[in-house]
Amino acid sequence: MPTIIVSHLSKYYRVHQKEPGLVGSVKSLFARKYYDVKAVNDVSFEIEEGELVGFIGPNGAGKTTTLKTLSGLLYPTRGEVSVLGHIPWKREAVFQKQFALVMGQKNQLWWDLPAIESFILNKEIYEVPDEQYRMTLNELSELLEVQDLLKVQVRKLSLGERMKMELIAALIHSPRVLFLDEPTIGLDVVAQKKMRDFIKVYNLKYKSTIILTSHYMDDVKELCKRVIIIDKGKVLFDGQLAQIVRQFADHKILSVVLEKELSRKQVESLAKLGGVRELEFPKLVLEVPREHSNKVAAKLLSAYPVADLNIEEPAIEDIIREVFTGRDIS
Amino acid sequence: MKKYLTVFSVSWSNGFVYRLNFILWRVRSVIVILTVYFLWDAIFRNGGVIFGYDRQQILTYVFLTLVLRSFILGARSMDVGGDISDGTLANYLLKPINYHFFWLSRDLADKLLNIAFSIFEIFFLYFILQPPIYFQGNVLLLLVTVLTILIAVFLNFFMGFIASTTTFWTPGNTWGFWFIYLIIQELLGGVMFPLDILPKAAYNLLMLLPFPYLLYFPINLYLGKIPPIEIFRGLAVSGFWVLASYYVLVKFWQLGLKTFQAEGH
Repeated sequence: MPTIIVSHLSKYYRVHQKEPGLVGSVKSLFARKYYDVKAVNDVSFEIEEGELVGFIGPNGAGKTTTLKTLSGLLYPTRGEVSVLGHIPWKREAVFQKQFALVMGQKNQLWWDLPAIESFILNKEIYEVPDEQYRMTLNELSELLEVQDLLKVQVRKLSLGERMKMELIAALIHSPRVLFLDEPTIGLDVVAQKKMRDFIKVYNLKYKSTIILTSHYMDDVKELCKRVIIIDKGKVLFDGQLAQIVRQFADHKILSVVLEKELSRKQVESLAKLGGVRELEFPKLVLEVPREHSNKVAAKLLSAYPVADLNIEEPAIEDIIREVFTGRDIS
Repeated sequence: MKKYLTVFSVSWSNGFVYRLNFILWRVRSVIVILTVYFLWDAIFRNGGVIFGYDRQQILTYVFLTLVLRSFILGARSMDVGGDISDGTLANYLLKPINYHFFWLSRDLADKLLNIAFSIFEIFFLYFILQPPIYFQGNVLLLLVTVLTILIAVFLNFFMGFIASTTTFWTPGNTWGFWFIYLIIQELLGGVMFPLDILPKAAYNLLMLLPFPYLLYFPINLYLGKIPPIEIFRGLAVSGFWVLASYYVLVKFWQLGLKTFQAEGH
């Protein structure tokens, strides 16, 4: 049985609309207009044990809402969810002891105390045996290189250090399922890389099932074989990262090295061949419809001073960006 | 059980982090005690009996209010509304821990910390003020007083928690209902004045509500001013309110969680 099963999950929020200004405020005291926001709308997927799945989509796509439902924080409007064979929002202790949710924008550590105090508290809450606690703590603090910081007040730590502590706090009970919501947000590139390496090692070593959301394509590209793209509450894509290009890219990229500068007429007629992405001697990059790429390439070779020509697939980042900026790719 | 003991001890260490803050808080409470004490002392300067209290009784009443007030009414759990409003509650909902017990442990830790410091203050104040304190010699009555104090602690915890739970429906307004509750505590709980100075009818009606059992009832038990039959009635009424407020809290909580959206996460 898959570790995570989500079937036709929908979650609507009721929100009220307020007109701007004082008049609007007063009006909204008496008569409120409500409407439903479909944060998640008929989403289904399954995740097997040990998979590390990237969950991507623009802000407000429904990623976090889905994770919250999988964690049992929200009751769904419709649909069924099973995580490790449990219904999350029943919040059974057996279930809660086996998973963790880490949110890059929120912290659970006690701000005024050293992180170690929060770890001890979590150890007791999750009823982790002493021996296991010692081992896990040693291992995690070594992997994340924070052994010297355990007894420092959390408020005195840098954001990167704090995020590492957050991870330790979330992993002290060795969860089998882990939801990471923007774990690298706000971190510098070095810290991001460290965090990524850690997630990778953790996934391999403990065979834990991980769902990761991130705005940084590097996170996803490096960590996840499989991605689920979600937008406006719907799943747009669910499959191997490499497949995204094949499925969504309706164009190819022709990148050309020119022998000499183009005449004005030549430049003008380029537009008929495809979208000019870049033209700066000696480089020319064209975006052309997939089915015409060969024809356009032949034309370029015959009518233009071409030194070199490559037909390339567009980069994954570009495709994702198109999804994010709202271009309809479905 | 052990997890709640750990909450207790972590909460305790948290209380000690800001020593200056803590000391200032205690200084504040001493100043309040002195102010109210001198006020009543002045009123009774010429002796006599007002509203059925003589000088010794009223000063004991005031002294006890001030001591018991921080123990019974002081509650960290007023932060619950904030937790709900900013989504921090999510942290606890994810874990195998009972959120109500969590706060109860924190409250008790806080109360114990307060008691520890109160003892010093009480000795200190007792020696400068030399108040004519009334000592209750009846051991049985003392035991019942302790029981009513415990009832008061739980009653206050449940009612305060209900006030915080309303935040589920009025996010952002984490303090609104707490303020109302605080005012009710002061007025109807017997903090500002002993309730039996009210007209008899109002007084009888009031004694059916939960509020007098927060402070007024335990203190007057200690003073020996409550006749036996009313002791039994009071225990029954306050016992009923403890159960009722607990029931309401649980129901409110279940409903609230359905609307909770873990915002800010």
